Amino acid sequence: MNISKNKLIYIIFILLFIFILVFSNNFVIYFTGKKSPKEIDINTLTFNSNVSLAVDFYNVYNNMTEDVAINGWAFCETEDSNENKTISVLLRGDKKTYSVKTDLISRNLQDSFPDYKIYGTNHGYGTEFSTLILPNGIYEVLLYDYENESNSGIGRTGRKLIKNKDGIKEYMPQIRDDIDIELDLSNISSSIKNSVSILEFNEDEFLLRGWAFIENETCDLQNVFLGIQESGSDEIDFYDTVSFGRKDTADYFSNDLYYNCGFDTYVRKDKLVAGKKYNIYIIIEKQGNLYYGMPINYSA
Amino acid sequence: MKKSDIVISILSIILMCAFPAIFLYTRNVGEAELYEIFMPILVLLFIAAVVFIIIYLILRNVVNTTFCTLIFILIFSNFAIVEDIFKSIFNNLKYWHVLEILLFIFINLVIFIYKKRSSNKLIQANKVFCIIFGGLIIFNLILAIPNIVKKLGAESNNASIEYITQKDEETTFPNFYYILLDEYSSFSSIKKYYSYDNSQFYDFLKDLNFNVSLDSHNDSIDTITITTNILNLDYVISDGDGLLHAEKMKYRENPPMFDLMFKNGYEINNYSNLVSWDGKYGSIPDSYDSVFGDFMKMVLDNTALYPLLVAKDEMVDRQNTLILLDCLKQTYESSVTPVFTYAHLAIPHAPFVFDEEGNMTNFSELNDWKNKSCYLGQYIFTTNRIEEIVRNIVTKDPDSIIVLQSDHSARWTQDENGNEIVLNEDARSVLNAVYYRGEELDIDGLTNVNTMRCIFSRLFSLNLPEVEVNF
Repeated sequence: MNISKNKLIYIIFILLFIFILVFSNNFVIYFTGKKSPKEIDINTLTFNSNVSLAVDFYNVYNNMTEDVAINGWAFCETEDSNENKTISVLLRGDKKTYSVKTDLISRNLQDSFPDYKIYGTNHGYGTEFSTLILPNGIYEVLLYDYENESNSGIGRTGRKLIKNKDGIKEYMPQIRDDIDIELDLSNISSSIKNSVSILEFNEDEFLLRGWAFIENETCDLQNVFLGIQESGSDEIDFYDTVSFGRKDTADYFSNDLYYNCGFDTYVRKDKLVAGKKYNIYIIIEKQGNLYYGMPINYSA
Repeated sequence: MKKSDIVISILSIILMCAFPAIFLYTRNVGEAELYEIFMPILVLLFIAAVVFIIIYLILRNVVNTTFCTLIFILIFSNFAIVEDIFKSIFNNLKYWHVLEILLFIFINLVIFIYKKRSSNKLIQANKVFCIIFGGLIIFNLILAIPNIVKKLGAESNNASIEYITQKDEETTFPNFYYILLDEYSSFSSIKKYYSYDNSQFYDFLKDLNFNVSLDSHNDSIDTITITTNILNLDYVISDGDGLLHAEKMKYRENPPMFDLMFKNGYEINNYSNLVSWDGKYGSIPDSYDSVFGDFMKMVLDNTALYPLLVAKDEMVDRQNTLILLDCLKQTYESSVTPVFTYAHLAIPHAPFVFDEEGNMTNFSELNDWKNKSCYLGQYIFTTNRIEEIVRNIVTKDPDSIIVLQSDHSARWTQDENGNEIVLNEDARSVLNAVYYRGEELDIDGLTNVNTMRCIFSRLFSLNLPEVEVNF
């Protein structure tokens, strides 16, 4: 086959164009010097301790590189040396999880938590990273704290991000018409323990805050959904939630497995009208399986 | 090649580069100055010249090169619109994807023209561009002529109102601090639209012996209209009077409020660049100049250069606001002559460059009225800083007069679907609080203008009855 020199140059030009187009997000991240999350398999991580954490600063910049900044402190209780301690931000989506290593900052927490076994001062973390390479979707922001071989765990920050055509922004839990849950009342399990409080959040919304767990199972990576059904109605509104640590609940049930059982969601006030009765279902999703708790009867 | 073809080619480039700035100028004659159009035109001409030279080295033909340059400038100067179209079709595209795709198409166009070599049709195309952009410029200029003439003919309207002051030799007037907070929502509006209870600020003002009106409304939601009337102590202009911005500005030269203070022995301390006194517009000491200016930014915002603009001017605004807040810490209790301070603070008006703590906000939310935390953060920051300022004045200069007013409440608040939700009446409700030497003053329900008339009546023993206004 005889290809002229000009045609060859043109083919190279087109291939180069396609190459740059496909990898342009990566080039931008490289040239701007931004950190970028790497895909990981969350199941390869070891979680054997509870993570105490705080997020002091959290900002989602809807700028061109769609940056997120976060800092605070996190630790697992340990008595062993943690000189190789790392804290990573995990972005856990429906299908994939991404990880960004943070920079550790010296934070002495022993004075603030005298009853905890805290080793050293490497407990502050901070990072800013670009989310350009993340596919569209909703991501839970988790912290993975690795103290040493004996102690590491997942901390749930109670925050989520949503990436879509408009960029990246903070995601507030809300009513979801798109989630595929069929309430199977024959499958209600008494091994699910839960509680929910309905609090005034603002003029338009209630905050539903509570905890839920499956007995003797870890809450580390569970997802909690709420189903709200007006008594006598067939329709159920489903809500997703954000999860966070509830040491009080774990202490009350004397079981550290329940540490990450807390959840929050927001419900519009016209969905819980005064004078009406509602059934509130708590649904726990773990590894694709759904578990239904006993409905809570609520009179608004 | 005919000489006329070359002339038309060059002319078409100049007209295309000039069009965006001239178009914007003709649409904003009242606000913009003629000299402001030259820099954006020069920027586009410079870019056109660079592109022209590069392409000419390849094509070696003026007509063909001109055609390619025109296409480049056409896309370059409307890049933001083209990018939106691409993004509406392919959701995940970013700025650099669109830039690369357009460059690819453009390079292919140059290659195509290089291969064809013929320039007969392109001469016609260049002529069409020349006629279209020349025609558009002339058309827009003709439409703008009445406003340009009106603007040029605008004369100073400083009313020579003679206020007879009952001042005797021994009367000493107190220092007077007038602070206008742009877009600071009234107590009721901030509660209604932001679910924010500002009663702590109300209690704070009452504790300092401020007189606070909870039901004050102005006649407009336009800052220039409202503040011009305040400065004139009367309703001299209105939204529907058809006056150009430049004509309204004439009412702000040596305004009666300043005149009255000056005639009563006050030294004028003017921090507002929207009001002139004695031939000089006010200014903030050691303030920074804007990098681009509003007009240049408007033109460049549509071009492929828009990412470079970032928020440079907004950062300058932020810096200048901080400087002005510091200036307002200055009190004049030891001054021999009484001092009249006039300050117009551009917060909590957008751009939202302060969060609640005063930190810089997210660059993408500088004008975000949908995310309520943006305005609210700047609102709370403003409240906190004003508390510091008035506490300081009342402590050091307790015999002074302090007027805290807003021109209007938040106007453009949006619901989650992006619909504006603020009722006009709520947008016109304002903060209106007066510290009158620690004394009581009945300003309940008064507009800003009538509040000032009430204060001056008491201060200078004048008879300034309330003026009527049509809401």
